[in-house]
Amino acid sequence: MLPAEGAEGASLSIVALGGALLASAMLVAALHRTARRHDLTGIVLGASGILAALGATLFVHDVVNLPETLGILSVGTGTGYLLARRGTFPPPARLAPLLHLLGAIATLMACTAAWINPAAFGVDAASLPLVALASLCGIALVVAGLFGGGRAHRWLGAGSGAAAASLGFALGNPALILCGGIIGSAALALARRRR
Amino acid sequence: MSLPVAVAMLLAGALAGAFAVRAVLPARSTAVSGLLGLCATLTLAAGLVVATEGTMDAARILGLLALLVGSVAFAAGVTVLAQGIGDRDRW
Repeated sequence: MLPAEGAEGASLSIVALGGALLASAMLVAALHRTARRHDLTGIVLGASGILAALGATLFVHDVVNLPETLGILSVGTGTGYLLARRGTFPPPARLAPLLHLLGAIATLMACTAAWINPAAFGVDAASLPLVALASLCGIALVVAGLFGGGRAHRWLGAGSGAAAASLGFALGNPALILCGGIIGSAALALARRRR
Repeated sequence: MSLPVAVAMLLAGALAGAFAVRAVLPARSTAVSGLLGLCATLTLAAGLVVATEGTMDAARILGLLALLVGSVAFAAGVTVLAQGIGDRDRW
């Protein structure tokens, strides 16, 4: 199911495992804190967890085009910050479906790239069904996010977690596997509670 | 990374996630939902993998686009959540 040992980006290094464990611990602490307190600590922990996962990913994988990657990251974060500051983004209550929708679009693009050039990411024939599963989750999330009502929006988090975990299995990325499991199960528990 | 290790990591993550929100306060469910939306932008790590290792132009451009969309969502999510978290009426 997973890329063969020795394939590009498939080996589990100490840095990858440490980054994934740090990111998941931060996400769990962020969810735990946000569930009970009215302060910024949970958001800071969650954002730091995502950055830890990104750092571990960047460290472990072969960086072919670092200037483009860092340039796109700078442009994207700057644009997101300016859009949110100007009030273009919806209020907090309607924010979650939009974030899941954007995450689903990013998932679909990553899956398409893996379909086009599977050898570059260590995706063998056995891993292609996982890429297909992530693609299906991404398509379902886009459809539910755009056309679904409040009831469908409650389950978007579970789909996002499943998509992230499937992509993690296919690409051999431990941070995506761990954090996808956390997001999916927490969103399922929350959706069941809000029914 | 072997399959049993990966499955064990997935199960451990799932248990930890369910444990973290097991006693969420009803008034905080919107904030937790927003944070989960923010966490969903973690898929930009996948975009990062694709963008950094893509050797073909089409795959690399798609990876960079995934990274762009993910990073816009991440920055906007952090900003909106940070602005709204103190506003008890809206949450």
